[in-house]
Amino acid sequence: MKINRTDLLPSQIQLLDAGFLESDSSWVICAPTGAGKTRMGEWVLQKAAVRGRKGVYLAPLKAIVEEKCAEWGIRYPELEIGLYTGETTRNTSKKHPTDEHLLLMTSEKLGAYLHMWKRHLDWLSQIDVVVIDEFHLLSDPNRGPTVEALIGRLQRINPFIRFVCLSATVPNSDRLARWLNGTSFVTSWRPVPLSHRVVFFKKADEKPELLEKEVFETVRQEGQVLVFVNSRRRCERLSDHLDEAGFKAAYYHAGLGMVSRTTRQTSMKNREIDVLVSTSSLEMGVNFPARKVVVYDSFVFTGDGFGPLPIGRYQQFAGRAGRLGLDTQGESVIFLPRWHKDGEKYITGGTEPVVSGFHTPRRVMKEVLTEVCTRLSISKGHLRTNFSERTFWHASEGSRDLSHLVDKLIETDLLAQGGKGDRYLTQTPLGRIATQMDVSPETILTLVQFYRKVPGPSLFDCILAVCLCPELTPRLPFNFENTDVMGDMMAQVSSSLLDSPPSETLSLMSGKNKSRGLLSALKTATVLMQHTSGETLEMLSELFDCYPTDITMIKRNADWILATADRVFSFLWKQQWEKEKEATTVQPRPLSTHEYRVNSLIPMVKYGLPRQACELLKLKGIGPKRAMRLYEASISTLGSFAETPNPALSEVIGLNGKIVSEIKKNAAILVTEKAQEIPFELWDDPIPAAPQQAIHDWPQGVDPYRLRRALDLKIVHRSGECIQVEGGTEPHMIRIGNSLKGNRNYHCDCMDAAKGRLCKHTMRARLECGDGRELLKALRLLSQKGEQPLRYALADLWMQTGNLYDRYEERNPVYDGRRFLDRATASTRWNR
Amino acid sequence: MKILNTPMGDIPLPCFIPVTTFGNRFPLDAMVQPYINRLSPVMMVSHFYAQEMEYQHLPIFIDSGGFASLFKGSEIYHISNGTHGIRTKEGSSITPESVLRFQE
Repeated sequence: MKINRTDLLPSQIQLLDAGFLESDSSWVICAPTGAGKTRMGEWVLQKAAVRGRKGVYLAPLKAIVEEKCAEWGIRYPELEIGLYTGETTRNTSKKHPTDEHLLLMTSEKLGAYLHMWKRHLDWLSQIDVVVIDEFHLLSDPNRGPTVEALIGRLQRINPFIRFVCLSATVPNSDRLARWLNGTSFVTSWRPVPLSHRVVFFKKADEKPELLEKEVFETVRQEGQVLVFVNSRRRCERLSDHLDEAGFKAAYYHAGLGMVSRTTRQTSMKNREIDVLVSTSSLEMGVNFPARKVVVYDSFVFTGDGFGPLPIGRYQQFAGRAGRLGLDTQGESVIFLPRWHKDGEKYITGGTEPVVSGFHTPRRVMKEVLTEVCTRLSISKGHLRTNFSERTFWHASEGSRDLSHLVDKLIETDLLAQGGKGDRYLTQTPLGRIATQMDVSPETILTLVQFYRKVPGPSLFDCILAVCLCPELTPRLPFNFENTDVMGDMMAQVSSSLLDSPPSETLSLMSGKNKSRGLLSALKTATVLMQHTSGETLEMLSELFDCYPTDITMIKRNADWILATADRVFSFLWKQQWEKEKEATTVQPRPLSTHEYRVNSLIPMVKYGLPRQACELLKLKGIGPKRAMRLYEASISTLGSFAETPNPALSEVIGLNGKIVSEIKKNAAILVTEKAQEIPFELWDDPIPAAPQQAIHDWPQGVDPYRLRRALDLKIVHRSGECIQVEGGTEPHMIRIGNSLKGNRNYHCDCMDAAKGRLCKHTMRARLECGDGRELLKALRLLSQKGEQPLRYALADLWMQTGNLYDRYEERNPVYDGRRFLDRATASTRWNR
Repeated sequence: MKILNTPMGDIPLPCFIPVTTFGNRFPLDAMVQPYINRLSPVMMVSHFYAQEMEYQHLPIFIDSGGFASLFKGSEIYHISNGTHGIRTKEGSSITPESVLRFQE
């Protein structure tokens, strides 16, 4: 393999001089965006192909993998390149990984292959090198553990494999390289120099104007601007604002469909727009630079609230500034409040070190289960030496005792132990389902508990159980505004879980923030059920304040969890049946109610069809679209199809008479077969709606939504003159003054307060100062929780969500609404 | 260092020669086989298992596989001039000549 050094970037020459190409060990490469990292990865992939072996390229996002596949397909026509992501094998070829030189995959896909490593050993053994892009995501609690576990497994399955790990932000590359027994290479060379600047603002409502100024300066010099914000809604609003200010602006986030996203990327590349406002969707991977990057929000969603933007993520954003060949200088600007204490850290500070993603027992348990089910570890000792001691966790933070996690898996019937002195661990049928379906132990436990607690579930119960599982993402956030619509819909649904107190459903869940999770699951389940009644994605997204792409993703994941539920219910019912059948006569095992419901739901959710219309899918020639048309024409059963005259059918489904006659014959046969089936009519009847229980005497002017959000906020500074709060989309300052009558007044710098509303920040400040009689009254009303059925408890449940209330529920007395109530009570007694 | 030239490639000596089997009897061998050509320039297989071997890109030494005489139902029979062969229960026959022929 020959490389012409004259065509190379200085960073690439440095790497070659360090002996990269001659080396057969692992490498951790840390180089800024645009320094040619991916090209460095390509060399080793090519080298593997020249040796007659395979190279694997791993990236966290499907979009990155697809982009590389298209690019390399043109650049290396002599190589067979395979694309393997979550849902697809390469469309252009039906080849197997055995037949291809370069395999482009997501980490999850390779992880799934390793679950069946013996079956895939023929090609796994031929891998020479694995290139891992965006390696800093090892810290990510969702994606990191997958990468960390697959590195350990690959090292055992193929001891000749080496890793080349690429990232722009890995300050502890030496430590990572030591973990991989490899070499670290760091360069700070950038093709386009980058400058950083902080723009301070006094009040948050100044930010749009400051942004206009930044955009104007760059656009005036024929440059383009990329703005990063922390929410999709803000992204859209800010884009509209810039548009109104006369700039050619557009927005970009994961809620947009693929066509819209591609169109906007192309418009930006062709310089048809001046400014693109984006969420973190453009943070990594896709090569998409602009002259200036503005990081508009210094707070990001952490999965459990808002927290300060990590320096590493700021640098990922900033890395997008400066276009090779077009700009001589890139510029990155971050907006920070004037009173921000350590704003300079973004300019001068180093990025956070990459740490192991195995923070939570939940992820470790999943990997422990996979280890045993794949027979890579068969005892606690094996788990220690083969799995635990190979993790980056062990390399950086020392040993970790897995015994209690193994015991928990045994207790919950996901693992079993046997052999002399119970030394050996084996999989159970439930453990095998978890590994084969690639779901977490919690999902299996939720489904098992649901099976045991809800003996005769309705369709809604089953879909709700599926939505309670942690893999059912993206989670649709439940807003207070959803309460009315959801309350009306849920009052009409037949469901055992909705008729029980919320505690019943909460007991099926695991993890923190259960109330929030339950509301989100209820919303998701309602969206899916509405979809099965023929509502379009667009209508649903408008009604439930979400995006069609979110619903598409939820449908895909629901399909996966429903398939898992089918296997779990089938196993449990078989077990139950075998126990009971001894006392009864021998007869074939019928389907259980759970299986019947889940089997009905699978096509309903997949095609967005009502239950009756799904029956029509059994007919050859009738797909989801025709089934829906028939359903809308009131031909919703096989029987009614068989009885409808041919011309009427032809008109509805658009097929000629001869084909219609064939389909009708098929329908008549199915109707006869169906009549011989064991009768199973347990379909849901609508239940009468009961009135929603209202909270009486609610204090005027107190918005419950803002009050609940106020309890989520954290006081970071308090003095007689001002209070600073954090925990929302950005930090705010509330100035405290005194009126002539001696009453306190509060002035917050947020947009909400500017519109004359009692904002959440002011509410929090007033609670802190013990100055909010009506707020305390509202809190008292909210603390009166009754055991009403879940279907009528939406509003109450919503009020309990958020970190503080959850902490309260777990008896953590540090900081919650109760604190203010107790303080008020104490103060009243003192005054008496 | 000495080099042993074979039609399948050169073997630098001294070297490590892994001994392996083919077929389904020893799963551990099946797991090691994909890596043999990265571990050693040559391998050794007994005549008995070599018959189930797929094409390998390595020089291979064929061992006589005399242990097959210990299998249940196997018998040793006289060929000529003190030469003996093994006949297994399944009817296959192993003789010095057949082993050499296979090696060639």
